[in-house]
Amino acid sequence: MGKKAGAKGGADDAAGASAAAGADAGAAAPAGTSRYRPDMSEVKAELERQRKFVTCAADENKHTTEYAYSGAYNSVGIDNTFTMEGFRDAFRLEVTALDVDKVEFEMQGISPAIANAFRRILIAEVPTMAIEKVFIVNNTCIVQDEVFAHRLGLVPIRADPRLFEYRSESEAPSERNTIVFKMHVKCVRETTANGTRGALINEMVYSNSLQWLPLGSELPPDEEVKFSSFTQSQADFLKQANVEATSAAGGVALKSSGDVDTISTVHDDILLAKMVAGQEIELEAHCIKGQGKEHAKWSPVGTAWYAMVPQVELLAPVTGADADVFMEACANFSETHGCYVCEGVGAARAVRVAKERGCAMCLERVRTLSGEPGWGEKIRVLKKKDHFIFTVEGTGQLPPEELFKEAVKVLASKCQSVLSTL
Amino acid sequence: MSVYEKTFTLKDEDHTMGNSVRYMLNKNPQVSLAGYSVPHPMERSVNVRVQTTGEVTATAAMRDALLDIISVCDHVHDTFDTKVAEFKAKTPAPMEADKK
Repeated sequence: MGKKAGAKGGADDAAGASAAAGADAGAAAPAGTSRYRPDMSEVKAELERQRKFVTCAADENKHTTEYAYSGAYNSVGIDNTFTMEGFRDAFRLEVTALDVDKVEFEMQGISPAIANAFRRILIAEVPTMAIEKVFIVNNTCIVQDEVFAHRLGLVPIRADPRLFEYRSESEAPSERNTIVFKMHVKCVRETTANGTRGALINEMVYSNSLQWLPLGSELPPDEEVKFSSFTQSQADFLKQANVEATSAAGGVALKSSGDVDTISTVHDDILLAKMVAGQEIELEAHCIKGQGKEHAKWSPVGTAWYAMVPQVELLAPVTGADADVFMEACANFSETHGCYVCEGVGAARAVRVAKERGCAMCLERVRTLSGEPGWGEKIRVLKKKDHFIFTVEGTGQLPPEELFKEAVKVLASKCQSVLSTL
Repeated sequence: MSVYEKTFTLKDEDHTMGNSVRYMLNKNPQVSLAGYSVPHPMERSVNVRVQTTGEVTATAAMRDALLDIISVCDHVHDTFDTKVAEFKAKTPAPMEADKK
């Protein structure tokens, strides 16, 4: 605040002084005056830079705060109010990579508060299906019941969670809120034709031993309480639910990572247990819908993260011996590194930034070099405060582009539910 | 009690909502103070404090902020959808991995 007041107070004086100083960047006081008068346009440019960019100095990141207050920049004539038109004009999004399990895109013109909200929701509040209750009939293997059940819970299930409902404790498990898997594995040793020890069969228990039961639980009812009450085959329910969801979305089919009416685990080869001859595992596992904030098994992303777009700036030409120092410190560590080029020969050889964004390898080197004496005025690493590179790595339950859309919808629905109580 | 100053307690919410709402409230020129806090990290609750200049009530300011966030979400959703479709259209789809 003090800095801005000072700048405003100096405005009238500086207007006259800068006219006299002309091309001289205002650093040297004109003859006859004894006071340093800053050039207002320089001050404004500097404030603008501090508003838009984080300066990555060698010791710490500077100017990291985003001042959201609508009147924060009134003294320099910038209106910081939010308008939907302004947002629509400034907002840009480009998808840079799309894979079956990862999407990477860039967003510009959005606040870190909202971007972070999307990231948090992706990790904790987009629901998925995961094994919650494990009914163990027989477990003679070395892995304890609870440890095995814990491992089962972490196995990602390929089922579109948007077609299922949440299930409360008192509700009966039905095809709308529960997925039932069965596992029955017995480890035996083969006897070969001449009676010698053969190979072990089912020594390793993989996640492909989980068989989906579309008709519900096969366990006999326990004291009149049925383990599940499916009124129809879950395959039929899923087909129906998908048709309903498609018509609700106006004819746009729900994209899921697999066939709509079959459910399986995402990976077939997750090792769950190891057994030896004579051991057996027989169990039933029920999956319900949940969110990552309750248990990480329900988190749909391997992880999701964003980074601000970096920028390497040469404030003054880096020539001659300086160019050598720069290239040695920041560019020559690898043959293939092409972010900076030293052009020219002799005393006029100068560094040119070929890739303004730098790369993971050189950014930190440039930042460290900018902290060395004399180098702070020559090079600088900046990060744009409202330009993010977002990466979402899915675990296979939903395609990653669907995951991000769900997260955006979740934020909107949270706001909607608060609105309804106002 | 003034209708221009209110503290809203959002139950079962955390920084995800708190920070987003605080940001959008601050962007409203008719809001003179907006902040949020999480009273205790083990309790899922957020307090959002709104004080307005007197031109609108605190509830109206809160409502505007929430509607703005919803609009932002809708715009981001639509833009993302379009851009993903564009990206898929220009890159040929990779071969389907062999299903085991």
